[in-house]
Amino acid sequence: VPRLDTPHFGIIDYPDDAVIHFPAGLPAFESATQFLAVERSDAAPLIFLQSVIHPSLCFLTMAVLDILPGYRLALCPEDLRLLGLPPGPQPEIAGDLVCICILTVPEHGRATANLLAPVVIRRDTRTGVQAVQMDSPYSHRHPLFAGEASICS
Amino acid sequence: MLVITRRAGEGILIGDEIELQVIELSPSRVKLGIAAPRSLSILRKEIQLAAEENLAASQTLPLDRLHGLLDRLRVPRG
Repeated sequence: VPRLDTPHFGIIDYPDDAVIHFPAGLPAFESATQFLAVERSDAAPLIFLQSVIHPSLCFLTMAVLDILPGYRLALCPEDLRLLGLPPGPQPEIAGDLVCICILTVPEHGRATANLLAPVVIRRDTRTGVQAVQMDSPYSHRHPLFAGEASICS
Repeated sequence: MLVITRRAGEGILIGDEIELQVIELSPSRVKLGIAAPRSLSILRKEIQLAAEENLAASQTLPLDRLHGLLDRLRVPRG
């Protein structure tokens, strides 16, 4: 069984088919092409996106629909292609198509979610992209807690 | 910032090697063609934003900070 020694979780043993492949990596981390989605009951609703290639790289994420119900995808043709989805109508976030977004939690200041560039994962093919949305009405720094919307923008 | 007005089909040159052409205009968007050396990286600006935000997010994880976050997330929101 493959094993990963991480600074945040210690040693993780995982089956091969748990690996999610990101053919293009993530912006600024293009070489990070394999991740594990680590869900722990003591950390729900958070999901950790742990890099397999760089064990010290781990993102904090949450399901996009938990942050903004009614969120709509607007994937560019290239991202649809990377996911193996047909061009044309935008896919729904349902069934095997999972959409999470990366959180930024600074030591001081408000916690935000990147709704401009959600991480879209196909569970059936274990493929993912961080999809920088087209013509997006969503912010890359969406306040996680609504009451903080006007504090420091 | 230098501002230049162009019509569809017109272009501009930047240095010797970069050509920008306005291919098509519609009320809400512009289609641009760019001819430049392969060695130059050309990105939609949102991708740069995503890259910067990923760098900030990658510094997020110290687990001691998560408890406060989880406490707030688990309060029913409305």
